[in-house]
Amino acid sequence: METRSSRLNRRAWIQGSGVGFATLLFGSPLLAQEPPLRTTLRLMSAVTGTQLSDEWLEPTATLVSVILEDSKPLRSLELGAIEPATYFTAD
Amino acid sequence: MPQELIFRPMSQLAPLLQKKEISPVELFNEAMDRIRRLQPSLNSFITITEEEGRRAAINAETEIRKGHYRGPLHGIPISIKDLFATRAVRTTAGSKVLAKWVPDYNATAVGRLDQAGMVMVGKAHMHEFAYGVTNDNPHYGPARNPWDRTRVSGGSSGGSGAAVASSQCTVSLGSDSGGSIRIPAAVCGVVGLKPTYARVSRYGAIPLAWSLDHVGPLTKSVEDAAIMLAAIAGPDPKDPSASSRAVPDYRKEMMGEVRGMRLGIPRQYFFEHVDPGIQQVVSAAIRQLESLGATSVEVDTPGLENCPAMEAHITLVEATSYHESYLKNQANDYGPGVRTDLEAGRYLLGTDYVKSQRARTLLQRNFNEAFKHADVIVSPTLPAFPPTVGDTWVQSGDLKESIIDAFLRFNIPHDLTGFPAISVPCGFSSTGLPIGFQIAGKAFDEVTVLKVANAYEQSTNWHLSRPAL
Repeated sequence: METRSSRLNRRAWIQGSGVGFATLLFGSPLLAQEPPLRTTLRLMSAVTGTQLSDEWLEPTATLVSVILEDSKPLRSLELGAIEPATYFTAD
Repeated sequence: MPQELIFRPMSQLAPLLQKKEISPVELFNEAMDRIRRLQPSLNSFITITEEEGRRAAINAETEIRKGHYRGPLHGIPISIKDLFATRAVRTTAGSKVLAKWVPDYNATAVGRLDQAGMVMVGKAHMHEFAYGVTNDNPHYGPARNPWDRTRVSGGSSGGSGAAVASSQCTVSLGSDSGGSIRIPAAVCGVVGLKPTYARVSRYGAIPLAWSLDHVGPLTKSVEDAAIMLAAIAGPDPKDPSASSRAVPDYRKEMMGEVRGMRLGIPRQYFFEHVDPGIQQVVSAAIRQLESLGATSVEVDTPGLENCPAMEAHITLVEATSYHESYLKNQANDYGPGVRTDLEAGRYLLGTDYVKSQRARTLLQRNFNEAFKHADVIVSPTLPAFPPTVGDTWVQSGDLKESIIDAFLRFNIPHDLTGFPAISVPCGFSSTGLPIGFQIAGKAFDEVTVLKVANAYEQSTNWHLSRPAL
């Protein structure tokens, strides 16, 4: 059976139990990624203008790291001169 | 009188109301009886508007009696997702943040339904700020699935889906940014239509992500979805993005055969990692359309593998931007899931956001290319069945994945392109859970989407099944 739990599904932790979450995270490459990301998020308060409290630091870092992991193929996508659809119009 | 009117679709009720064979008050009373009986177990509403609804029903009755019949929505019991501003009626968006907000204006879509003579029976339950797919709400409790009350109703328009399926109202107004109309429609066994982006004004709908938000109906039949769309679509000076294209007579134009029409089958992505029971039922739905004269063609829609990341960057960044001041002043009023999503939105890069929007342009091009070979693109609406309340993992065939990954997977591409898509009931699991069949079309080609959906629906009986409640 294929699972994506080895890299933790995006936002899966949100409603998951603490036990399930710990199990999923165990052995994940995210484990190595998260402590530095937590530090980075703390340091980013100067950029964001807000200080993330300890209570929210870990879940936020987890979610951000999952999204960044998911985004690798997107980041490598070559889009040439294609412009953004920031305001979609089909007219 | 036995409760039977409220089980019927709007298209059957409207002529009876017009001919004064039934009364809007009688219909309203049936809806209220259902709501009173089912709200304790299904929790489909955040606010029940009995007083306002009764007043509207009496007005409708008076008007119709005097010969002022407004059209097929006149006197019809409707629920409105609590995301839409309703004048003088509390609008919470499913959150404690807005628990006491009573707008002094109507969302444009609500105003149009009001003008059409709707009888609003309540504000339908929803996932907090439409930011999720389960409708397991930390502030107002879970909205439960009428087919199995231990399971989620889907989201974010979960109350709407459950209320229509359980006949607590005839139709409902919902919103869809990642599948929030089609997901609850599929898991509750009703019709859910996400029109083309900007076909319906977003004014007065509390945003999740401006560039992904769509407004549309959840109904008991495809014809009812066409009637609802005709009532709410069209330009709006209050929403500059709302399209100025003429609104077709959907109900009239969708009638007709599908003989010779081409069904695009995107085998890659849309048919991968799907529960075998769902796969089987959706394949049967395709064969049913083929038996009506449609032909199947395989289509290629490249770039879909990036959709989840694109959705994440766009939704998180736009949502955090909208919620900035609430986060500053009422951060502790959010549930933990939404709070974390909103906090995370501060830490994503602008370059990733813009890249996602650029990739969206490419996705639109790829879909337009596919539509050169097909009139519609069909797929399952969901790859898995809804889990029990509180459970966040589902089994999508050979893949165990989080419910959010699973439920967004086949829905989000059509939010990213902005193209129209509908979910119609197409069968049941061996345990009696409904299955949705998704039909998507070209931008502003709701007529073709509705035509295929209607032809399918009229040749089957799935939409007539009702949960035992």
